[in-house]
Amino acid sequence: MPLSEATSLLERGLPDPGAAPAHNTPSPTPAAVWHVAAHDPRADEEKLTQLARWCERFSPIVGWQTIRSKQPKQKRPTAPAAAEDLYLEVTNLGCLFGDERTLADEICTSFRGLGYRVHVGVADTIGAAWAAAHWIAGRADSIHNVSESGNGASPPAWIAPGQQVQALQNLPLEALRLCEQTVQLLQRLGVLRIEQLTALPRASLSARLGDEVLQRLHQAWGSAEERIQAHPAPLQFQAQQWLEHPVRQRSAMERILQQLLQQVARQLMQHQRGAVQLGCRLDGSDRRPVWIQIGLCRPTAVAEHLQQLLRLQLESLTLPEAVEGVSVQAMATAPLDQRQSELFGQRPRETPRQLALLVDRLSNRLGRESVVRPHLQADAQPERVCHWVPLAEGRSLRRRGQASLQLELAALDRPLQLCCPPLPLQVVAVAPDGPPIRWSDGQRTAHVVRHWGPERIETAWWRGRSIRRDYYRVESQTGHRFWLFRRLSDGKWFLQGEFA
Amino acid sequence: MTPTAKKVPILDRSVEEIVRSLRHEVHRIERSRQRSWQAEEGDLFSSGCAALDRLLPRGGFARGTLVEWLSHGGGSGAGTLAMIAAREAAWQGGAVVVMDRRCRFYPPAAAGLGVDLEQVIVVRAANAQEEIWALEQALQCTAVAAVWVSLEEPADKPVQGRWLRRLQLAAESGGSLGLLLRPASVRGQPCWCEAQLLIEPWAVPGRESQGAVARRLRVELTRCHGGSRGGTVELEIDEVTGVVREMSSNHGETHPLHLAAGLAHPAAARRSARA
Repeated sequence: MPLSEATSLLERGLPDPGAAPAHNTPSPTPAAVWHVAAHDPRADEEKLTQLARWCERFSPIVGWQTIRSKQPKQKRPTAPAAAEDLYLEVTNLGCLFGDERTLADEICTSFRGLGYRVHVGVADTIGAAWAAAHWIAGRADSIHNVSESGNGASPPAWIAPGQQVQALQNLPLEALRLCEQTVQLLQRLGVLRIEQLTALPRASLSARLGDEVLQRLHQAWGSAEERIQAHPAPLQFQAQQWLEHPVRQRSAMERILQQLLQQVARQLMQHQRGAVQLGCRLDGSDRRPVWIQIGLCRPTAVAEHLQQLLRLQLESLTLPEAVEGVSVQAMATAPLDQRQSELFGQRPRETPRQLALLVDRLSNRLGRESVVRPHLQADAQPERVCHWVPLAEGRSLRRRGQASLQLELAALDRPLQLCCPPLPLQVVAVAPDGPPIRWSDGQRTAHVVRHWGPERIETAWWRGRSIRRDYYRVESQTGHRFWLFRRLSDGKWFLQGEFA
Repeated sequence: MTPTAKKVPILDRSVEEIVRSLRHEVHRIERSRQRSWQAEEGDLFSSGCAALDRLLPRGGFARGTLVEWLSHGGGSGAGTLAMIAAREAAWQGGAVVVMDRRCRFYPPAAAGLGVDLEQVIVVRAANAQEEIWALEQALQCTAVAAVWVSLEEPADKPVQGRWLRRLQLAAESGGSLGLLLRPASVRGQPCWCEAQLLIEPWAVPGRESQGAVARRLRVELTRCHGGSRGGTVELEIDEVTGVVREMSSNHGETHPLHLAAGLAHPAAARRSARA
């Protein structure tokens, strides 16, 4: 419902309207605290997908959409924005749980354990089950107060086999899943219940209201076929092997890893996907399993490359003495890049893939934060001008969206090597606020024969503690150049960088 | 019947002759391999300064080689020249990998020299051993144009020759240019670089005021492969533009060579003749 409607409902429910708080912030009632948030359709879609996957413990066919006979099935259906129903195919599954009533009770109880309140309907047809869930087990237009009814759950509605016609007769027209416009038209004509609708001549219904009414009636009675479109199961790319005799040699374990990686690579290639994150688990008899995880810059389905990266990690780990089981899984995947090869061959120096392989090797051996790209940002303090972006784990080698800042500096205004933190110096200056003529850091002493500056750098007041420095570029008697600054707060000198 | 050259048996040759012939064979083999690589990848590329290119035996830096830049301490300008060479290499395609174990690399300076930071990858190894490994990996990669590294070597513990040999082989296989900044104390030690340059900055004496905008460096070719070493060139780097050029040695003096009669002013010709 719109946010304004929800707010008005909340305000109506407050005990003291005169003392109502500000808009969207209702005062807490003794029984419940209302939380108002904007509707997030994407989050609803993801959650419904998760619940559908979870419901596979009750039925192998779970979906949120149905299809008629002769209707093409969608390749990869996604949950519609307003979907709030899940359909489970439970034909001949009641005996696994006792009977169908017991199955429905167990579904209710399990959802209650997850924190959901559900209305369950069981019938011979999808239409009848939908009507039972919405209009017999619980009404669609009521708001249950959790505090009043305990958990707020209603018992499942079960329609005996072949009794759907009788069970639905007294239900309103909305129980047939008709569109709102058709329902309003029928209500204007005085047709309020399904019983009244079925008494009308079928030919006139089709002529005046289209095929939808008859179609829904036939689906509810079972004379028209309707099937559940099962949600797509998530693709799993994994391989594992349990060993009859534990393996102690590293070379044998690498051969097993090689075979498993080839299996995973074949699975990935079949779906034109590449691994972005790969996990490997080694189970030993002596202690807890060892987990190895590698991240990749670009999706890859090349077993040799994955093995190379795993080997880099294995070299630095203490493995179980005897490995009993090895499993490999692609934890995150992405579509493989499709590139058309050139007729005369691509210049090897411009191959992003080669660079991605290098980044993968370096990142997995040295660490994710050890292979970075500089990104300049606007900041007066020299130590904070550069932000380092890790290149691993699927990040593009070209940072998208935010371009690096272009600093307006001369070619030799800044040193190639920065001392972070700055090194304290002992400086001799002509005047207290003047340029240095001699400086020393304890290991070397330099006489300044030339200087440029001062260049005053001050940070913004909203940054917190303000940085105020006077920077000098100095040249020693040997021609070496350095970047010094005097801290204005106390007059101390520091070495900021060297013009290498 | 013309007499054919008589082949001298190896046992009859002196040790010096044998060493000379072996050196020639090794040189010929290495030349042929590198020449085929250059044929695939294109020509040599400039160091960023024509005068420095003339100092080098091939007229520039070759892909698949190591170049050592020696200097006495920090702030010498060797890193700047090396970064300019990396920029030249990257202009023909490829990434620039900077080995920054001590986390001292400052990208705004590289950007000021014209290096595209989108092409720069900074690698921060935890220790010297990891850094050498990463250096080898980067040099082997065919998508890398140049690798810039400042090897922090204490005087009593320089990088071992076998590691440098591995780096040279890695550069040859990947076709990347390795730019190694090393202390001047390693001069004279065995090395595997194509060229070794000693960079010495110098300040113009007696000018303590601000004003001049060029940084002056003296570059000596201390070692090179297949060429004569010992050449020196004096360079200056424009502080504003970063352009590297040979420093003029005249400083306003009259050039000793006579100009063509039709172009020279008679008065100037008489003055230079008396000089």
